[in-house]
Amino acid sequence: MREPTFLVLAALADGRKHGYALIAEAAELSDGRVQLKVGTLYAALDRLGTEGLVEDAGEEIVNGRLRRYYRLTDVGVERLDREAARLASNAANARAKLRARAATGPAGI
Amino acid sequence: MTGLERRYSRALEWYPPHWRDANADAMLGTLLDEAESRGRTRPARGEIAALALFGTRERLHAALPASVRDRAAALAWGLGAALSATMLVVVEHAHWAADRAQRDRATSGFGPFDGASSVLFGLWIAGFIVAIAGRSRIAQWIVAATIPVSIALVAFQTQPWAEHRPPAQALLLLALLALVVLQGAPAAPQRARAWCLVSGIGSTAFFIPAAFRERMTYPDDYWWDTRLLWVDITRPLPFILGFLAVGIVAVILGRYAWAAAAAILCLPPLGFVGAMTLTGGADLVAAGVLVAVPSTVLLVGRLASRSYLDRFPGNPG
Repeated sequence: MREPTFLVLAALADGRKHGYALIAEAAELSDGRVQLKVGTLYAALDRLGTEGLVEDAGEEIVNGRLRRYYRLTDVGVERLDREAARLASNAANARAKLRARAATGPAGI
Repeated sequence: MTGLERRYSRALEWYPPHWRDANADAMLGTLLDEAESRGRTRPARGEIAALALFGTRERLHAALPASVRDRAAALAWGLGAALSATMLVVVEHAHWAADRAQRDRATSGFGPFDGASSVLFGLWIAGFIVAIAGRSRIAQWIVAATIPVSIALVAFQTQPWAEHRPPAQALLLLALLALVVLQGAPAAPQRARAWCLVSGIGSTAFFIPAAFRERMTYPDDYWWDTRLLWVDITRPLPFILGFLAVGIVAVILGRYAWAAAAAILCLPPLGFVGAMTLTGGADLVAAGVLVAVPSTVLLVGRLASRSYLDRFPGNPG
């Protein structure tokens, strides 16, 4: 799973959100590194919807603009959980190797 | 309606009608929300172009749904890999070769193989294996690499390493199959891998005996004439009839996506027939180039647009 897809799912983890809130949340989760564009966000939402990971969660009109909300499905929650565990495991392994390197110095050079 | 709203609305017209009906209002609201939060009164740089690209892509996807493209890609993957495996085993390698073939290979510079065609076949087989292993994005890049290799084999046919290359008709067929493969989803689901595998095994089971049967019908002098074997094995009509048969069975069973995928697979051999007709019916090299050049343009265009879209971090690929 690519990072932007992960961030969209992660942004929905604490409840339903509309398009712009997803963009803002993804930027916050990535410390400003990932700035989702609207066209790409909706392509992602469409694909995630087709895969059954997210679903529509109502609409409202604010200042004359339509806001559509999205939320994770049960499958989406499971997939996000699995991906988060995988990333955490990879990060832990990398940190362990870095600690070993710091303790013994780089080898094989 | 403000000028900004008008420009966004116009850009959203790149999307197909069904998409606009479902998403345009929500998308427009998000575009305006974002512009407002950043204090913009004009679209951001590249924003309209990205919308146009995504809209065009949606139109293409609407014309050819993912279910059809994925099935066609799986069939093409199996077919291309089976043809390649057959020729690699029956012609390019063949350790039981007669003296003449052994002499040819001794000077080919490609180890136990006849020449550079083995690179082409190797890429197809490697791409197939990587796809079955679930790394379909990498596998697609490997298959994409077969197209320039096919072109190089045609363009440098006078070089010793390309001397025993397949005829342009076969290279054309493989290039078109590669293009069909590239239309499938980069992240193929588990089921698509099973389709690939079934298609590959089924096609190989057909081609290997067919290749040996063809070989047995020729005198020894022609035993290693790879061009002759390719012409025999890649005649367009059996391919077209085979896929039409698959399509008819699929329609009878109500599997319309498979029927459409089989119809798409009729296009590569039909493309060859069309190219042959346009080039006067005899010039295989010209026919190959005629299809290879636009195929390459399409491929580069697709990769370039994907690369452009990848610059926008939200593209899920």
